[in-house]
Amino acid sequence: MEVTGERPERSPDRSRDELLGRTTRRVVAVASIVSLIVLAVFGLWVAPPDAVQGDAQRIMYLHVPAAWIALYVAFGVTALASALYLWKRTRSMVWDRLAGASAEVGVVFTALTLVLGSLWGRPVWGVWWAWDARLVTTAVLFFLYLGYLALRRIPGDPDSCAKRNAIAALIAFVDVPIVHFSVDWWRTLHQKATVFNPALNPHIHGVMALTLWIGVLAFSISYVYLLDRRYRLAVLDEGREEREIEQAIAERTRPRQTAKVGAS
Amino acid sequence: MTDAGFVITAWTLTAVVLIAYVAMLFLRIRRGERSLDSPDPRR
Amino acid sequence: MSVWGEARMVAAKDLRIELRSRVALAQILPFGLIVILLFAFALDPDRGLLPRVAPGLFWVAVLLAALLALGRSFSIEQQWNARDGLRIAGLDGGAIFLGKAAAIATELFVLEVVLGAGVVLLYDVSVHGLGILLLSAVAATIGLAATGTLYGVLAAGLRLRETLLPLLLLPVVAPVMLGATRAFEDGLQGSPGDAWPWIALLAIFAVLYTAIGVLAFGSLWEEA
Repeated sequence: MEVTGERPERSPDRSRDELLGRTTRRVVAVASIVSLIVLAVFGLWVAPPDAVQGDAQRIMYLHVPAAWIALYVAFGVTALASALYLWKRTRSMVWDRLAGASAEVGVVFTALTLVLGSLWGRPVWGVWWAWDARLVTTAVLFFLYLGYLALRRIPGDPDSCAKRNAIAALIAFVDVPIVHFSVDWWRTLHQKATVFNPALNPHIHGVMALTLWIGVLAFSISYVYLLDRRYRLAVLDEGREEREIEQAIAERTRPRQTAKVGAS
Repeated sequence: MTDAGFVITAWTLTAVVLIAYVAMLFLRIRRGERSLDSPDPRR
Repeated sequence: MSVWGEARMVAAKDLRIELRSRVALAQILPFGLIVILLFAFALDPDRGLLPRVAPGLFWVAVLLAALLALGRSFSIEQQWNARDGLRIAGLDGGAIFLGKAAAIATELFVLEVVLGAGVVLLYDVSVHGLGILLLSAVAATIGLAATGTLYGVLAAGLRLRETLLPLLLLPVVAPVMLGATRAFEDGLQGSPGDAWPWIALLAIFAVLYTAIGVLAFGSLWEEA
């Protein structure tokens, strides 16, 4: 980052240095761990093996919640936060940080979704991958947001960056239904037996349905915790650059003319 | 690999990924908060 | 001057630069052709596979060439403070977008005609519905040009533009690739009727991203 004589215009928004208060965070952390353990107990033991898929079906209790949280919650939050940033009345760096944090957590969950899907598909349907609409859309989504994260890493004036990031997030978000629709259409035209359908099977009842909802709950709580921590990291990262700039400027304007400033 | 193998791999992988991500965040946050107290411009 | 007038002016400028520098003609077009050629090596012409995969390979080659063309479109703005010049001229952001996108679309379309001829000759495909091919190509090209110009400006001032633009653009244009390939399949293999829904999809995509571009380009351009 270049350090010029003039300080660039910055508008760090200190209105929220973190999302959850300390106590709330602790509660969420504990709730997250507890619910995940409960999920493990139910998913690996209490819930019976599936009549058709056997024990492999237990992977679903991870794969489906991960998919839902990633696609509908994490990336939804990113889109919403981006819109809120762009709208002048609610413009605040809080939204930019939130968008970025949620996207990163979303990418982690999406990657998990894809891998878990493969691990589920292989024993049950014999394939590591299938070209069905949901899988392909998920894969495209993964790359869409990976690109968004790469874009975010490029530094610049905070307000320009936030605006640029927000627009990029919304352009990507708009594309998601188009991708899903077009791939879905494509695959239904081909009339291949839809082997890979990680969608909720309407025949799931009782304990299995309960386990699935425990999974959704556990992943939701975990998402909130991760989001909070990632947001905090974003705040610290911003602050760190500012502080380093101030230090470097102080160094340079010190009376010692022969002082060489190291590359920033 | 048996079905059980896939299940165990899946659940273990999930645990590893989540724990690793939390740990990474935790460590970087700690580093960031430390620099609040003693900023080193040469870092 | 009206938005259309300004857009035409920008498009004319970009195309004139191309005519004089001949970068697309001398570098991007041969690149496209060699990609087509290399695909044939990769897929072994003797196995009868080429005609079946021709639509897909064609559009992949076009997409790769488009990445080069987009990079070029924005790097010409960086020379000689051209970007500041455009800003000072007070042109409407949407007009600049339409102009640049139109120029790209034109270059791409010419490229597609040549690559298309190359595919027909090299891959031994027969053309059943030329109208379908042209129509779907136009719709797809506009979609590619609009989205590409939008992402191009987003990545324009950035250090890592060359590597970032492909990563940003390719996932977004997945529906275009899908629709264009399916439409071309029908146009080449011979069931042109099936192409119409895909052409509709391509058209919707083109309109949508052109609209987004007109709206968003201005503010992105200012910040770049």
